[in-house]
Amino acid sequence: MTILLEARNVTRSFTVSRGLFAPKRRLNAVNGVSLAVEEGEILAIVGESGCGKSTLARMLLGLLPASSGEIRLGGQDMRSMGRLDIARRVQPVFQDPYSSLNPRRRIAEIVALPMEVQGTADAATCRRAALEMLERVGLPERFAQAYPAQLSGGQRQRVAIARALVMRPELVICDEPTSALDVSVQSQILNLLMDLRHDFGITFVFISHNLAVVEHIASRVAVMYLGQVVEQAETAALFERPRHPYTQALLASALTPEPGLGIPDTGLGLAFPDPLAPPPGCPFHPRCPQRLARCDKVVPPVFEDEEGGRVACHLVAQPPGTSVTP
Amino acid sequence: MAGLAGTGAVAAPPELSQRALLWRRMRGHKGFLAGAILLAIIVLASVLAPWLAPHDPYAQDLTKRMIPPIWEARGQWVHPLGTDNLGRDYLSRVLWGGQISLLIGLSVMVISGLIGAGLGLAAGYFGGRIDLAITFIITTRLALPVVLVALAVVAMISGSLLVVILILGLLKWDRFAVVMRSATQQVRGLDYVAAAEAAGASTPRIILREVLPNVAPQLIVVATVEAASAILLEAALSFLGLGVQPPLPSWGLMISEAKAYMFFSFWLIAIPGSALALLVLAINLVGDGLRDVLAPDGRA
Repeated sequence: MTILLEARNVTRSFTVSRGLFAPKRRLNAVNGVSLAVEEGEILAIVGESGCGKSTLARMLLGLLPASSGEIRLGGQDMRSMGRLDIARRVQPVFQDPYSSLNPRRRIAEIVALPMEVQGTADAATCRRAALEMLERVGLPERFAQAYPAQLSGGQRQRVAIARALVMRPELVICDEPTSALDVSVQSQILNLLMDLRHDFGITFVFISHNLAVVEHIASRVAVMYLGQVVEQAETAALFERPRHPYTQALLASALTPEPGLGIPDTGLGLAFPDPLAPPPGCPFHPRCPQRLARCDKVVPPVFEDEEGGRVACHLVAQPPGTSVTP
Repeated sequence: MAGLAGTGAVAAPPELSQRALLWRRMRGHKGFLAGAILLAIIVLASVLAPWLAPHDPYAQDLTKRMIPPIWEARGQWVHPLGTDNLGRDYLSRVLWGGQISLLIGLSVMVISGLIGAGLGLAAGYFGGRIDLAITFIITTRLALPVVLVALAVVAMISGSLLVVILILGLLKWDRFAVVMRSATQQVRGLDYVAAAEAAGASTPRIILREVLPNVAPQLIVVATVEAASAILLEAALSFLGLGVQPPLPSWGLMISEAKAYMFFSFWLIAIPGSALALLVLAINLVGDGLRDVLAPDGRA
């Protein structure tokens, strides 16, 4: 397997100002993330709101430069690549199809945009490609002249997908592509994405907090917490044997359609730590039900197992029940 | 397509095009309609002044001073709106004066609109230091009282039509900038801008083709309000003797010249005054109507 996209120790920090005279503070939205996306796979990134998923997505798209670390696309550092080169190979599908389509442009123009800005094809070719792609995502030609306001949420998301695919990119980064849609439409869009992946051989990075969807479609899962990847594993392995306490809590929190089970308790409490003042040691230790003595002092190293899974947790080196050696 | 079977029926979009919808909303808006008709009449009358005006607006005839308009006892059909204190035909002067008001309204709107919209777009789109710098410029400008600065400048370099246009154009861009800045900030954060960026579109292209069309409604509304306010400011400056200079037939200047006769020949001040009020009313009605008509898509 060749590695298509690789993030090496990527950090993105923002400076947060709290008024003119207060000292500026740094917020590490993404903190030392290393990921590799292999050609043809679907890498899911999961984590709760505010954990840096979307910031990471914007960096992988080349929209936001990394503060440190590097992102390599096909072995080449993204910073050395032009905007158009990146655009040809990586495209996004955003969460909200109501804000991802320009309300003043016709559907065909929206879909043709990525091809148009490349400047290599004339207007007629762009239009033909756009119509073809619209047809492919299930929107017949009569939609080409419509405006986004005339379409439903599911239809709009199809338009967004057509726009992402019109240049036949290698990698599509989906930032929660179904969470803004009706439940009945979600599966249609997911099926469409899987069809297109099959036909065009696209690699996906799939950001989501819908664990059921992730379990169903992803080949590998990375779990993020407070800007860091705390666990990374093959989907089946992760769902069968979650090793990081945060992953375990996340899986426990998934709602089941089974009535009578009630709303699951994660055992984490409500307090998401202030990202401006992250806890020392392991970022998860204040909420961790199984924390050890050293968790609040020592940052856990990343342990790699024989199956390629990676966990950043002291428990892996020292399973619970064994005595604590300081 | 196999996997797409059963992905749901795809309903046909409504038939109405965006333009047809806009047109229908315009016709349904009474205030806009009234303002547009009134404005059209005033514009037509002013533009056609060379053919409509019965007399030369500059021709003086001291034997025919202060003839009252026809609805008064001594009115004459030769001068339907009477004559002023120098015997010039008042109807002709009002018609020609409309040209000056419209010229000033339009050119001030264009100059200040270009400056203000440019600054506002740049501040809202780029943010950060650029935003800070532009916000500082806007705040500085807001601290200057327009009338006072205009008076001072005219007093220094003496007034003329061109000077009035330039002063007002260079001073009145503040509302454009403030409105455009916040409108752009809103649009900037939307995903379709990010999508255009991810598609590799250049920054000027994104600003012109993704952002500008979506802030245009606000721009148009501000432009109408600013045009009306520029017309009023010109009248005020001319009234104070520091704007358009005689013998040009500016409405403000006509009011100023008539104020000495206000108690004996009321029409001298009432006619240009009403013309001014009607024009400003028409423009404001149109602006108000446009704000409603151009409001969010899909609100129809």
